[in-house]
Amino acid sequence: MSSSVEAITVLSSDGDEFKITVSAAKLSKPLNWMLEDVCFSDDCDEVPTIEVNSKTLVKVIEYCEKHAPRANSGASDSDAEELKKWDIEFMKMDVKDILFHILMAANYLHMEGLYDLACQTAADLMKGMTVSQIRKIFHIKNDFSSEEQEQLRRQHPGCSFD
Amino acid sequence: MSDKISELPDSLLQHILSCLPTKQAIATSLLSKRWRPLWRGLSTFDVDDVDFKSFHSLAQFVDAVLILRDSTPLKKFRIYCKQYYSFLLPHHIVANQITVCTIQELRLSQVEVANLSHVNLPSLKLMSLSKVRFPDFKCVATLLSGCPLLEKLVLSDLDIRNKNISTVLMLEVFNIWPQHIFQLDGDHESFLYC
Repeated sequence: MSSSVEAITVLSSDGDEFKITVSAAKLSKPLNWMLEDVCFSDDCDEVPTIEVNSKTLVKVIEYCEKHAPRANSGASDSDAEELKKWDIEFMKMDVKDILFHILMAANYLHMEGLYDLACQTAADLMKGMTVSQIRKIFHIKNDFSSEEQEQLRRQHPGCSFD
Repeated sequence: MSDKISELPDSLLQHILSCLPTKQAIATSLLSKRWRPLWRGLSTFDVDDVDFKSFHSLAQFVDAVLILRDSTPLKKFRIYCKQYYSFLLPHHIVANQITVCTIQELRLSQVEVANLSHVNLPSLKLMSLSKVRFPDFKCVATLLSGCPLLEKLVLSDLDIRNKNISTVLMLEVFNIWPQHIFQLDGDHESFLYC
């Protein structure tokens, strides 16, 4: 790859084109490998596809661009504090829709920081909630039969399905 | 709206559950069949006594979880007691070398450690002991001698019963089995939800 390239173009799974700076792309291991293996110069017409939909990829790129300068240069305490606040704002998203895709994307793209952040966000949504409240938030269907529930209740007198 | 979260791979769901207090992480096993086995592979252990109605139920819970979890390495072990001065020993950490070798962080508060025979915490970097009661100095020495990579040690209000310091020089190895510490009987599974 030519060292003069500062940004690369990638395709989302929906076929839309996105630009991402090289320093931001380095936050993801697979993207980093791609940078080493694939030709990104101007005369190369092959645009790599990332198996992440457009709506999610916008968010992932936003995260990478925000975190890249600090990841590359090391953060001071005040920077780290500001970044933490930014992360909290960044994660205020529609749970049922995008959080799931962010989790998948962070997993697929091997992005440790975003992965931890998204998992923590999902856990925070569960914290202090009852089993039935968690089911409601994430649309989880209770697939235990009434016999199975009865048996679990007998085995575990303290357990609650509500 | 479909249930997307349950489609996530086990490792991802377990990472989410590892961010929760262990008691609540285990409660999610009642969500659906998909979630039923996940808690056994958690990499953290984190309990607060305020979440339990008695010390007895806390002790039963700790033991049940440590016995029934699978062999996934624990990275974090935390027991925090505010109200019960307890007779607790994280015996699986101490007794089982397979589960101990990845623990990096051990925090005990208001916990009584019984006679320790053998400690092996080769990855431990942080140990925090607050209001922890030991039977004697030998026990403290045994605990510390099992942590070769310790970087940060936080001690506050240690209570050492027998202050005869000459015992420090004597290290003896015994076998400690869980039932000697917790006096458990009955079915461990029945203590998971309380």
